[in-house]
Amino acid sequence: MSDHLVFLLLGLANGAVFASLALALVVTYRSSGVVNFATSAIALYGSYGFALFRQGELLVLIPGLPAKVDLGWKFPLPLAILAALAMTAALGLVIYGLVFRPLREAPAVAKAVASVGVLVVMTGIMGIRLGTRPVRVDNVFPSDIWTVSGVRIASDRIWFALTVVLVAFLLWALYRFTPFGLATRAAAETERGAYLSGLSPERLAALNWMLSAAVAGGAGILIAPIVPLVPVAYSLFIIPALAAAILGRFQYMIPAVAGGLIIGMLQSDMQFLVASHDWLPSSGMPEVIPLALILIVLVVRAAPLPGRGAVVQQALGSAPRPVRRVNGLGVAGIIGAVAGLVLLEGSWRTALIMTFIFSMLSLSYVVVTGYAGQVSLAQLTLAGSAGFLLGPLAGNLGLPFPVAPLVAALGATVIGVVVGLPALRIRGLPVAVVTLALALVLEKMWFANSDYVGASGVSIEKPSFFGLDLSSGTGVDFPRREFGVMVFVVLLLVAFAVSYLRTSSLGSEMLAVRANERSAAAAGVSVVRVKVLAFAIGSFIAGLGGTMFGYRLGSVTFDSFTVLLGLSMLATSYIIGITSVTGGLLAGFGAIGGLGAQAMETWFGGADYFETIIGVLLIIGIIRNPEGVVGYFMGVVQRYRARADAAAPDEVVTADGAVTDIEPRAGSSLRLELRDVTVRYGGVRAVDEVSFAVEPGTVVGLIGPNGAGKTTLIDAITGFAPSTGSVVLVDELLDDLKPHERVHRGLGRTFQAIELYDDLSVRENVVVGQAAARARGDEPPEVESVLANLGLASAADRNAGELSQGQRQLVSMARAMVGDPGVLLLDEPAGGLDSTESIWLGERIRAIADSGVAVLLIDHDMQLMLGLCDQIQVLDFGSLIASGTPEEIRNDPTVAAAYLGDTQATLAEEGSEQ
Amino acid sequence: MSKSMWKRLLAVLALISLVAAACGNDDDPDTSSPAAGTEAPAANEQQAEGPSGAETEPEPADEAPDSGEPDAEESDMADTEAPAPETTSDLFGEPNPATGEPLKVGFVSDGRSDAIDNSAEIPAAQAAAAYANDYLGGVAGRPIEFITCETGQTPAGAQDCVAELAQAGVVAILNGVSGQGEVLSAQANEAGIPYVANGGLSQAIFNAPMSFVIGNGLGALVGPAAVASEKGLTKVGIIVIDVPAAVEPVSQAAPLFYGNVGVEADIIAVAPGTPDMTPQVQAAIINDAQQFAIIGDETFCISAMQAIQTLGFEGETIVVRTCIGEATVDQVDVDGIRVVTGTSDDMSDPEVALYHAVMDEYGGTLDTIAEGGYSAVLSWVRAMAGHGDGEVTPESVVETMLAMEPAPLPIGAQGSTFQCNRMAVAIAPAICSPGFAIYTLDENGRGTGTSFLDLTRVLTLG
Repeated sequence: MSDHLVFLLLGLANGAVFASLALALVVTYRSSGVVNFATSAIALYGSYGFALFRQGELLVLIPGLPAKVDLGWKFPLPLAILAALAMTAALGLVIYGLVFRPLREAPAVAKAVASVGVLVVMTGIMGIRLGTRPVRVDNVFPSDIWTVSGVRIASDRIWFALTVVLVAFLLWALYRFTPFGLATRAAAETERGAYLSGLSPERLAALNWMLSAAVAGGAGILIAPIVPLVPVAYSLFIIPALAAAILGRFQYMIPAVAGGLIIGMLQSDMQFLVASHDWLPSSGMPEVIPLALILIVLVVRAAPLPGRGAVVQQALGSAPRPVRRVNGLGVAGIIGAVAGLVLLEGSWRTALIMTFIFSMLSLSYVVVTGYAGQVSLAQLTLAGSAGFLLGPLAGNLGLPFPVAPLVAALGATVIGVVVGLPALRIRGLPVAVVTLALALVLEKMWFANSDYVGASGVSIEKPSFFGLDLSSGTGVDFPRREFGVMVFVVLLLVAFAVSYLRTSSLGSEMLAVRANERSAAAAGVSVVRVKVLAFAIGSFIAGLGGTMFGYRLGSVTFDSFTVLLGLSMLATSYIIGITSVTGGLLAGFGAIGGLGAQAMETWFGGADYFETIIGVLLIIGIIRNPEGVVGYFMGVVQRYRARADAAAPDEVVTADGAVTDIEPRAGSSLRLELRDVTVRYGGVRAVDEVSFAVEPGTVVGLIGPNGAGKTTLIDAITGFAPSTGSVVLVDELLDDLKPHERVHRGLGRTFQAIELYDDLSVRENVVVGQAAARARGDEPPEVESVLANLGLASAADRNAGELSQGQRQLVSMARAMVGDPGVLLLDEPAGGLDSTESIWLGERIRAIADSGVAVLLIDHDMQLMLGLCDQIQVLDFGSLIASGTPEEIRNDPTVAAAYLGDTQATLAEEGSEQ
Repeated sequence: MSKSMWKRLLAVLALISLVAAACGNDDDPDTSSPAAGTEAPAANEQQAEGPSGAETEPEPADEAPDSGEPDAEESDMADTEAPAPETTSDLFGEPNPATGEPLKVGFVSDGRSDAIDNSAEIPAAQAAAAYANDYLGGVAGRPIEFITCETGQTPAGAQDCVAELAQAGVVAILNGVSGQGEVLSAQANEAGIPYVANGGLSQAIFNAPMSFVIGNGLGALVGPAAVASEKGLTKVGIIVIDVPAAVEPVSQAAPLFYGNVGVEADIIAVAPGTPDMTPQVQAAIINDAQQFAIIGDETFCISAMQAIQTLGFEGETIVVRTCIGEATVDQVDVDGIRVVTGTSDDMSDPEVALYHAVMDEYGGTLDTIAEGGYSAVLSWVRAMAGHGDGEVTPESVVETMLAMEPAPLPIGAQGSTFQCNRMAVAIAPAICSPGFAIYTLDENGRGTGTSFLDLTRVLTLG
């Protein structure tokens, strides 16, 4: 047998470990939409429970009670397995009730972070209560040695792998064929659907949580005989398990299990390759395999995780615009920090400096996650990369002080952009998983690889600036005040920069991308550029933090920058506030070795349970305040201010003349022409060979019943939906251009579901749209004048989230208008307007057309359409069934037939009115 | 203070240190073995090598009534031992209470996390200090007052510890064993404070002028090399956890030491968190490994030993002492596994009896972690015996330790000594004791056939 085959076979056991956890991940995600990082902790609970039942003891996790209760009877194997499964199912119920039920409508990111909280709490408690000594676990399967073609394989590993596959099939059948399974799948589609079928979604969810916890517990029981049972035993298995789950797209159990087995087997073969080839890095190669598989699946296929039928999409708390760059709180903070540097001694001063450093790292999360909405789990790793680069830069290359850390941070920037590249193709949690896998590869292959980093780590030259020693010092001197001042100054610069970023146009574009990539692209924002910049800036900041940490340590080793610490750090940043500079700055207090920990230690005698408490706070924080602690207080302040401003006028959309005239459009007139535009979804032609033109200065209406393909056609025109045929602007074919490039050519659009950025002010929402005109090299129209054109001048400083439906429609139009479009595509702008407002809106649209813009308008308001449009195109089942003037359309029997009852009645009614 | 209580998966680092802790030593190689077993295959061939060839003396060396039943398995040992051979007062000697102003001494531990638990070091160290204060006149006649600190198992935490202790004005920083030993040593040296650890396996510590390592951390490497040489093997595998702090010293020292005796060493670094090690072990077997050495803690060793046994490897497996605990004996067929160790397991050794008596009297557990704390403190007290009544400063501590006479090694076999004159092991000046022992486990995890191996041929710079 070839060596490779031998190694693939030997990898089965590891593969089965990953497969079993991947199975649990998939079951959990399918039924609850939670990417459950705590899966390994639940598995661990199952294995401890099982091991103790076998020894005649009951595991108790509640602090204060004894950890083990003697049952006086050693459970036989099958009973111990059943009892442990029941115990984990009960745990699943508890976790659901306490954590995920309150979060059932929360965004996926919040749920995932909450699961990190569960992980922290559970491993913390088990570590404290069970000690670190391995617990004896009996074999579940007979462990004979089988010899296959001269290769010895332990039979229990084969049984293990087979069992996992069998369980996957059983679960598949359960979900496929039983009423419970069907109901679960229905509920996963939409909660409302489940209600309609007469099932309680909550009971279903509870049952599913029990089942998924039991699956995880079962995985733990199967793993336990192979892996010595200690509290941290399973923590690192989560990454290959996540990779395997992604292979099954978090939906399909059999592919996920196959993925797990394949990862284990390939890793095993990789071990052999590494052992046989000296040129391969001696560490980290096996970690490349899950990463590579994730990248292949996610990036090549660009398949997002299927979302569930969730209604709530707001992923993160609002990122408030700083009112002033430095407010009272900021001044107090600066004074407090300076006073701290002067007054504090010893470990308190150390804690203060660590707080500064971690505040810097948290600010990198603020940029990447809080502003741009990309969940990166690699920020601490990026900080580490700057630390590891700083050594040789300042040492061998001899770069002087301010240059070396800056270059190191730039190095981290380059790495950070590479880490962020997959995010250009994928969105949401998969980005987090990719960054996690990449971080692990960096850690194993670089930081913890003795080929590159010695046992003493990479030592770092002491910083000095014009003869001033800025080093952290040692012994009695540590940490030197000069060092603290340097860190503080760097932190201040970073904080100002991030605050500036928030108010800059790039910052607005980031929030636009975070809110909705489609609408950002429609506003002419290059989503790719914004994401790359966000990762670059975030990495640079993390890099600066890493260099400061490096200077503090004097010599960096991998264990200050591990993936798991990074996970904890994200959790801390998330609790305290990941969407604002203030939150980022305060997050440092909750960090490792920060002031919070120091205070806890000094005043509460340290604590084994510190970590657990942080985890509990994290969970409570997410449930109660998805915007983080700081967001909560800011909300209080805002409500207070809002009360003070109660006199401000509320209604903006008025026909009483609060508008200015629209100047004739300066740019050249554009004519939009569609030639046989076709959109296929699978076998269905959503849009079928549609051809027509929109002339400048005219309004063309597009009508048709629901599902006729109207919005799909606009998506095709603007590049959001893949299409065949041609979209021609004047003489230019747009077919190969990306959405934002089409916008740059002069297309502007609004969305049916108005995709505004609720935490941006009206002005900021609109400013984003100027990107389009700038990209053409034109001077964009003044925001103020466009707002005035649409009667929004007095609402300019309010948050979009506070506006009425009609006002939001106008903001959306204003955003398109500041891009100075030659062609404007409006998707149901009158939705949610009453008839007076609708008439008023019609006048505005006519004025826009009169300024030289070609307008394509979709709306259901027939009165508006028939009164406003110069031409009307009627779409049904993707095909144009009629076109002509409003008069012609009104009298067209085909149109009436397409609209059937109600619309026909409407048409008839409207006809009689006129 | 324990900084960062965040979960550390890096149990890892601790492993390394444990390693070192395990490979403490005994004595000059020609000391007799008091163990019951007399099998000493190592000795036979090595006698030819020089005057320090190992010998064994079948005779139990003392009058202990139960000396025929050496207690090999100490980890987690409940206090159900047979009574010590001597009475407590015989062992402790005349009371000699320390007087005067307490002497501030730092004691650092990695403490406890959900990954590793080294916290047993602290009560053991406190017990040793209390014993020294009551019966040995403390240090320079003054009672030892410990200021303890926990690293939280992070480099930053270790750095904080040294700073905190320096600010408290300690004259020495003691430590059983730490995953952050490198940082502790480097920071303490920079702060001008001597660092005294029971274990450590790092070139940086070995060469630091103010660092002292009581046990012989190189034993984990040297022992298996000596065995391989004795058996005439040509290639062996060393399974070690894949973190730089473990892999680097092993990959630097192993080729040298094994090369000295004509053996090629294949270093098998296994990433922490690897569930099943059979692929790595199989790769080594394909590359013709004839013997395996394992360097790690109990958890790591169990996985490694299971993989070796699953694959039906027929050569010898040699582990460090921290590999062997209750769980190991439970889950692995330990019969025939060989263990390299610095400390003795034999209650008939007065040092072992003393250790048990001190733990009994002053409170402390009996396990390999506790041994490190006890041993570090008592060794330091013995090394400081020559300090006069003058002022104790970090400098005077270093001076005194360098000038010490050979002293009995705590928990060592009878006759084992240590001397911190930076000459015990030429290539690792910080190490205070040169020798080590090896024994074979029976099916119950009890050690038999302790023998002392010759180091001279292995431990040279070739």
